[in-house]
Amino acid sequence: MPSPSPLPEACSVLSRRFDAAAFAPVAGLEEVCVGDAAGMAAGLGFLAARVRSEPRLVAFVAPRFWFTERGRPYAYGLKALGIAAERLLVVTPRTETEALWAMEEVLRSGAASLAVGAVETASLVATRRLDLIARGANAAAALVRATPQTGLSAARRRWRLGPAPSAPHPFDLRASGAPRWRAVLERSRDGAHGEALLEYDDETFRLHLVDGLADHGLAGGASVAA
Amino acid sequence: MDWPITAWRAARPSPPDAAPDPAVHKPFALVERTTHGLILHALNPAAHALGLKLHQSHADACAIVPELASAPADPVEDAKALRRLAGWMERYSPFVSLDPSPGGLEGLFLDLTGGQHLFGGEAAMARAMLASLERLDVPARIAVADTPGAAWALARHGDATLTLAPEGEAKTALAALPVAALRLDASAIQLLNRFGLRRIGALATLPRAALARRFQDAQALNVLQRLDQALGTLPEPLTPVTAPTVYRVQRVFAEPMTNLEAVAIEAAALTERLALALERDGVGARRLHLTGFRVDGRTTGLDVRLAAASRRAAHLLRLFRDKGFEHLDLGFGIDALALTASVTEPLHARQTSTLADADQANAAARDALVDRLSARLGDGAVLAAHLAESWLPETAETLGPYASRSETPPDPAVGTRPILLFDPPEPIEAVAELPDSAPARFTWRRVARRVLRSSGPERLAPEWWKAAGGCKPKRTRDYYRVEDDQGGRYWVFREGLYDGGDVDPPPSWWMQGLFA
Repeated sequence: MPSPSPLPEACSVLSRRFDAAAFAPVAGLEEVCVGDAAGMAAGLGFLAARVRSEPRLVAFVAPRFWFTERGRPYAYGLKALGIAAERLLVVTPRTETEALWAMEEVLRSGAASLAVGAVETASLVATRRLDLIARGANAAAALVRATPQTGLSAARRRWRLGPAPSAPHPFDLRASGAPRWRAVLERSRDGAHGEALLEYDDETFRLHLVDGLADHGLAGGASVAA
Repeated sequence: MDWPITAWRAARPSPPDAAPDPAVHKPFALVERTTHGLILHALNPAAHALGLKLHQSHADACAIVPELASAPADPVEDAKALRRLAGWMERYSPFVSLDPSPGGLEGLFLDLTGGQHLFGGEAAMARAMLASLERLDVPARIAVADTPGAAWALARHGDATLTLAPEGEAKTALAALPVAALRLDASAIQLLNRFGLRRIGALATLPRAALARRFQDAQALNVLQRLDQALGTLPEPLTPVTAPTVYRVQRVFAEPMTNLEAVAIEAAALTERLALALERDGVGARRLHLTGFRVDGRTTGLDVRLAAASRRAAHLLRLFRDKGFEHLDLGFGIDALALTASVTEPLHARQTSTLADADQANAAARDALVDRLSARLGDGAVLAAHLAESWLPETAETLGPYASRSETPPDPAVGTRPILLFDPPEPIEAVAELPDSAPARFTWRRVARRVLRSSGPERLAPEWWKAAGGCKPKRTRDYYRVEDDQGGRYWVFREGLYDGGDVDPPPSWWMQGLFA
């Protein structure tokens, strides 16, 4: 994973409490709490955009009824994030135990760079195993859920993600521009936490940190290459 | 030997202290209902001894033997039971077939070629077969000969329960048998008896043209054909019950195994042997069966499919483990275990591609992963994107089984598409300012949302070249990307045009997807 450049000193008063390195994908387990269906799309976009450059699979593990509720992953939509259609793998187990087993298998095989699981309850032991296996395979694992995690978890980072009003479109006043997400890092192994507004540029495939200025410009130099 | 009676007895477990089995000592018959009334379908030896004959009318038989006990016959169940037994007899030979001649649905042909040494010779093999059939309470007569015809004759009309005709001596072995042993029909046998030809030996020495002239047309050919088949000059092809495979390894145990862990260990040894056989021929397996032959005459098995041909023993064993050895029903124990690869593919064809080494390793890891997931979760649980030539979003890309995806998908140029799709789309209530514009407000899943920004429409007409199916005609869709005040980005469409004449029913709004 490439190391991003730190924020310039002049913007230190506007800089968040954590820099762009907190958004870079790391080999290990992360937990993402999304609210409703629109938040799920934002969460998936955030997770998938970060592993675009690797040629390995992007695996999605969820039971079948999840798709009728939340919608199924669409390969043409992933193309907009720079991920080819043949990189998508969808696994539909019947129970949550099988879902955790499938995620472990996917990560252990080394054929996937990202494994996203829609598992609501995962114990401390299960999350610790997922974290270790993901680290060993140099892949990112993520558990997306609708309700906040109450128990203990061995995830490296815990996010809360939701959509935010998008950037203005450069040519059309009425259309929406680049998508933006509000990401709250609730807990992290290295102590960073805070809230940020992210913007995704689908021409350069980069995630940018958005400044807190009146016109929501981009913070100079703070971006993560996907 | 009367298979219907054996099957009838096997289907009824007798309580330990009941009256002795009527089928064994007293005269007993199975009757079948035909257009001529009830006739005898099968008889036990006691009934034969009292002079009853097959296909006699039941009323006549009861008049001759008043104490005749009878039960209804069930030919369908008998045939099924015989097939099950044939499946179990595969532990001796992979080539087992049912006797195709009419009235002969009580026999099995086993082709022992090439397998005798595994059991210590033909004689030992036949004795073992007889012993195991006796353990299953199936009275049997076994004959081993060069041709199926000779074996049939010796088994039915020979003297001993176990006959072994020496190789090449079919003529002398058959000489003393009656003509009925040649599987001829009743009129031919009658004619031959009238000529005084009662033994096969007498028949074989006659000039063939003279023999053929005595019969009419097809019957003549039949007599000669059966004679030639029995003596070995004409081949007789048999169709096996299960198609024999080239790659099959099996192991027979000294004692029946009842432990699943032991079965797993033996299966590991079998996969090693099978992998060697596959490697010798340069092929990989796509489909494997593990069959266990139980002591009570049935078989139990596990079936595994692979997405890509493989011959690595560790991988094949892992697939069986993921499927679960506990799905095998061992019953009272299994005597033998066999592993067959029923579908194989040349393996080298996949390896000569132009991928780099890392990509190749990646592809191999991916196929192995899909195999393991399918073995545990089922074939329909591992899906990939199937792209199709269509511009309707829900048909342009569907999720289908991973194994059947095409290698080079079509790449149509599409506009921006959402990352999550609702298939089928969900209805929403929307209000638009102008008939042609995006909605200003809409209600989805009972939450009212206000639209701040929108773009579109992207017009997708129905695919006119596809036959209109269903009662609802397909209508033009206008897709809009809308964004609400919270930042949620949706893909909605209006189905039907206001000025296009779609009045009944009026155009409706639907939610198709969510953008990231």
